[in-house]
Amino acid sequence: MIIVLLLVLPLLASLILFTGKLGKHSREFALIVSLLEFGVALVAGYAFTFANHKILNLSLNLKQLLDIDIIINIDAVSLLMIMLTTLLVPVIIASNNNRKVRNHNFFGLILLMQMALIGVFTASEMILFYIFWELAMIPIFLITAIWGGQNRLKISVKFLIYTVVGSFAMLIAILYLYTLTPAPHSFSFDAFYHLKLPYSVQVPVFLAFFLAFAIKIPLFPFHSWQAETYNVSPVQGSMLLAGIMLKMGLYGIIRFILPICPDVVAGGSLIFLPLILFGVIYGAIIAIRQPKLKKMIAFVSLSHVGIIALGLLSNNHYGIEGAILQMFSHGVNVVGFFLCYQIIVIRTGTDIISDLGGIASAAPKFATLFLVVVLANVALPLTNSFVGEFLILLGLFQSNIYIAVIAGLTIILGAVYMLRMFQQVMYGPQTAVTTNFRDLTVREMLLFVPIIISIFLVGVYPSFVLQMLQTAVK
Amino acid sequence: MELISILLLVFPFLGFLIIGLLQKHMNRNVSGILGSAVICINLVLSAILFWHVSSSNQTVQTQLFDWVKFADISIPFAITVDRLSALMLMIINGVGLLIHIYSIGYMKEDEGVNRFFAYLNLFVFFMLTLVLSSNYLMLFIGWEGVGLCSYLLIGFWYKDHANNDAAKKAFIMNRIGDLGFLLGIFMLYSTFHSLNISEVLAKASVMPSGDMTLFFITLCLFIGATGKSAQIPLFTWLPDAMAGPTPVSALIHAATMVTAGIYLIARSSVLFVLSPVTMNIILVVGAATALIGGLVAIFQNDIKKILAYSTVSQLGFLFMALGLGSFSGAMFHLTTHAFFKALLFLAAGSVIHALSGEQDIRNMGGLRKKIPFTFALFIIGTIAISGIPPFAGFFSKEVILTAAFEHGLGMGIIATVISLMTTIYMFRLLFVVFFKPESKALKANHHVHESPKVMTYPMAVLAILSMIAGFVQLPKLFSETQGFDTFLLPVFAKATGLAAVSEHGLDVQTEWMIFLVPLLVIAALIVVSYKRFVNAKELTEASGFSKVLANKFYFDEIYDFCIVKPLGFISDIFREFVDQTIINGIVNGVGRGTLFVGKRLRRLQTGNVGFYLVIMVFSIIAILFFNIIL
Amino acid sequence: MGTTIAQIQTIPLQYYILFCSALFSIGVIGVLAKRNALVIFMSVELMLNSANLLLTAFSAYRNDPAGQIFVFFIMVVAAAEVAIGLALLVVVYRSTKTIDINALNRLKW
Repeated sequence: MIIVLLLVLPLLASLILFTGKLGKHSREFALIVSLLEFGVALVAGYAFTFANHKILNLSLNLKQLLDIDIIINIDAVSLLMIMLTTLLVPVIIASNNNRKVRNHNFFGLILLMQMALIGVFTASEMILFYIFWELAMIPIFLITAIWGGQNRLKISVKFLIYTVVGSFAMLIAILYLYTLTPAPHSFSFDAFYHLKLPYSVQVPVFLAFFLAFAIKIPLFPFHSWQAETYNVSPVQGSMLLAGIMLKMGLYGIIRFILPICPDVVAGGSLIFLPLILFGVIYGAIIAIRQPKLKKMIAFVSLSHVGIIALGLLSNNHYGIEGAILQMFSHGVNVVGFFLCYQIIVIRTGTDIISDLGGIASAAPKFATLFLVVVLANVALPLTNSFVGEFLILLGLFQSNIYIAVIAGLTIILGAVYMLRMFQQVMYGPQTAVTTNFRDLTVREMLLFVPIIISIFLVGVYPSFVLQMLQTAVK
Repeated sequence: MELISILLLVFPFLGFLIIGLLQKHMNRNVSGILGSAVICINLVLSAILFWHVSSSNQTVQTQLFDWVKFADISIPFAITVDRLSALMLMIINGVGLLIHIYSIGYMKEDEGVNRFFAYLNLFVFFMLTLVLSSNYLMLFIGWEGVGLCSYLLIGFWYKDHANNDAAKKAFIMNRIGDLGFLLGIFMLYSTFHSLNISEVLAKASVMPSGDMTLFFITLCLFIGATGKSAQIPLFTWLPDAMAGPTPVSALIHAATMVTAGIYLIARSSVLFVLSPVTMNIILVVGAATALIGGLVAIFQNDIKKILAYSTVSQLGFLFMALGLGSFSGAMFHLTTHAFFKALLFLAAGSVIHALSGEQDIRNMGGLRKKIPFTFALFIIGTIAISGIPPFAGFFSKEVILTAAFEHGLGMGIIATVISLMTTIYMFRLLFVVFFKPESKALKANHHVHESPKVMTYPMAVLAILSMIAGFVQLPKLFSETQGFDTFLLPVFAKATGLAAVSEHGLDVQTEWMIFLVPLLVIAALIVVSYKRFVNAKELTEASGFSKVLANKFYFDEIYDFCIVKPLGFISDIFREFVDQTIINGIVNGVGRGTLFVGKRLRRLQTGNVGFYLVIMVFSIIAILFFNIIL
Repeated sequence: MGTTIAQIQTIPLQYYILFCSALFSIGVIGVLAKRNALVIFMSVELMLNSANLLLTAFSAYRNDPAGQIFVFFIMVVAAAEVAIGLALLVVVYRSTKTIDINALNRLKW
């Protein structure tokens, strides 16, 4: 029943928040609920690792009503994603200290989004998955459209339409696969996994799913909503998008593309891997000269997520496992990065990289934490993304040397754009906007605690995650 | 012993954590003492381990925990101490301790002194990880870790962007090498299904010489080494790295970190011996780097830059030794080089300290009277590095020269020339700084002072080491026992066994030639450079070919033009044009197209009910028609 | 019941089809040609009823009551539709003082 609790808790909390009765205490309430949720997730994790797995399954038969089975269950991959979600949501909620945005609806939407995300990560039934998948769009769309910056309506509508187009392709594929399941037809994942599709059927199914996920992740060339949406969305929205929501697409690849279209993944790798690879390099190169910090994060994310997608589609179990681990690490790192971004922007009022400088001399604590986050982003050993990136590249190397070599260039390019940004922002002489830069307050330091802990925990001892994932990868 | 090997890593890391976390609250004197104390403990521990492995000829294996483990891959955190790593331990902790102590004096006035010692301890931690690791991935951790510390310490004075640029350049160039290293690791894993060094070497030793896989593996590892050890084409970061505090240059960019590449190749000696092509590449690259470094050093005017190019040159020399298959010769020279190069850097630091930050040798001169102790130490360092007996440099160079002559006369002459260039630039430096009449700038400066004892004593220790370290192994002419070779024999036995045994031992006559001719030339060179540099009025602006040399063969400019500029250009094109115009344009174009079509189709909605009805009826008829008739 | 069916069946089926087609066509032409909303309404009813008649005839010929059940449904729905439609017409007439459909052309692009 834990799993129901995971879903119901944020839903109820968001409903309570929407009533607006809590007024000024909305943030505290949301924070407490999200922390509780994290506690529940930890219990689920404990149950998964040590206790019996049955409590993590729920199967409701609603045949009489809807002809839909509600099947939810948690396996290692879902658990990791739930951990990521429940870990990051409290940080995201607590990070919001913008008076204008401090609105009960805002927090309600975040919690609603959390519920939808957990739903996506736990659903084991296609229709349910699809409902959650689309449900997750609504809060983030509203957050961007209501509390966003300039041009927020235009950009959020573009984002909405763009992703819905992808989702629609997925829906068609789902319905088509449904007709192929043996009678009585079923939407359950198991039924889909047991389809042994001929190659000619796999190709269009792959394309439909891939379009949906490529837009969501996003992969080159479907990324043009990303930088704009990040840029216009409030920081919390960007965190939700980059930290968790993008993982939905990657999760979809794991759940559908890999088991349903294995032959396409194995055979067609030379067609779509170069495309993704180009996007990886492309994002990295753009990030080198991007003048705005937030847009830079978007392109960095484009590059990093591309690497993860490469790992997933590398058709090699090192690559896949590394990619799953990297999904977690990327979420943590990008949220850490956005935290730093937010601190800089609130203090200085600008995110133009060339206007900043010398923050390190004014705020040594912040400089240290930011440095850790930056180093985690450049995948330095002993930080979380090293292991993932190492395994991804190892996997790619074993499936295709050339792609691995070119993908490896991101190691260099990553250092280039990250260090350039860090030097510009943190080092050098102070500028007009950074002279009175306050160092971190205790509250802000606390925000970094979960980020830093997961950076080093996964970096130094990734085995516990890797072993947990091992069964799922098969 | 296992516990000791773990503690070796624990102490510097603890030192880093304590100093780093308590930065704000720690007294500025405490951090230096704490940092040094940690390394001192480490030195004692290393000595115990050193004694253990050298007396018992065993290796100490320690398993910490599984770092990456799933399915069929298992990469543990594990420590192996054999004689090679024990030697490195002694160098790192020994030189490290002296430099820590020196830094207490050198960094006394700096506001970031606590940060400095935190970074230094972190560096020692990573460097020890590098040499203690029993597998390639953990070695890579140390490898990247020292790169990080190098980055942090080069850019230690981060308020000046010049320093940050240098730091960034070092990190990025190292990253290029690291990619090579990483690819090498992937190939190792794909070939041997293990990253454990001894396992890999054991499996490799049965492969045929000249195997293509081995060639690519060793080539990639060597690319990694060129980054870290500043070889062509990735050497330009090292001279820039002198932007960091001088003790950093001594510890990281002369004695320890830059030798990591040599350590890596020596560690993987079996692989390299089995791929003669790579060995030749190493030989050529090493020789070219040594020549270029030496030539450029002669024309530099910054005291630290001269030493930096000297380091580049000496590292090239070490790679030549490796390329010649003389692994223990390389390690021997590495050891002595660590001593006298650290000494020279520290002495240079002492000079800079005495002149309150002046680094341009044109503004120096006549310092031998003002800072006599530093002068004495500097002379010792210069003699040692120039290869004049009986100081350490002579003995270690002798091994490499012999190896070069065994390889062939041409190679021997090249090696000799490289070794002689050392004399030129070092004595030029010595004469200009200490003997030349005082420059005007210096005369105006009355604050010239000898460094405090906390700085001079560590230098004195290094000076003594530079004098006596060579006696560990006398040339074959004088002694039958080859102390150093014997010590490292267990490590390199397999490699030497596998090497193609075509070497014809040199006859005694040639050995005497190798021994004496350079000495005569050195003596001549000293005299010439004394005349040339002490009496010359001012160092003139370089022109012609020497201008090319003074500008380091324009390597930086070429890289800037070929790589940095185009990359920035592509970045702008991608961002402005490809991303905005093409990709976003297509997406927005779809939206606009929809709007456009909608605008046109809207006209259909006339509002006239009769029209709608007509359309409806005819549509129904059409549908029926198509359904029934067709 | 049986007698009714027998009576229906005394007339050949083609006659029903022809008659209903004619009725339907008159309805269609009425819808297309007339501008008076009330007349259009009546024409629509004519079409509906022609369909109903045909359904009944087929039902009788095939001995299948389903057709007649359909008819009942259609009649109910048509009645409801007429109620709403006439109500709308009354509203339209009140606001425009006409029931000419060409006057109702304001709902356009």
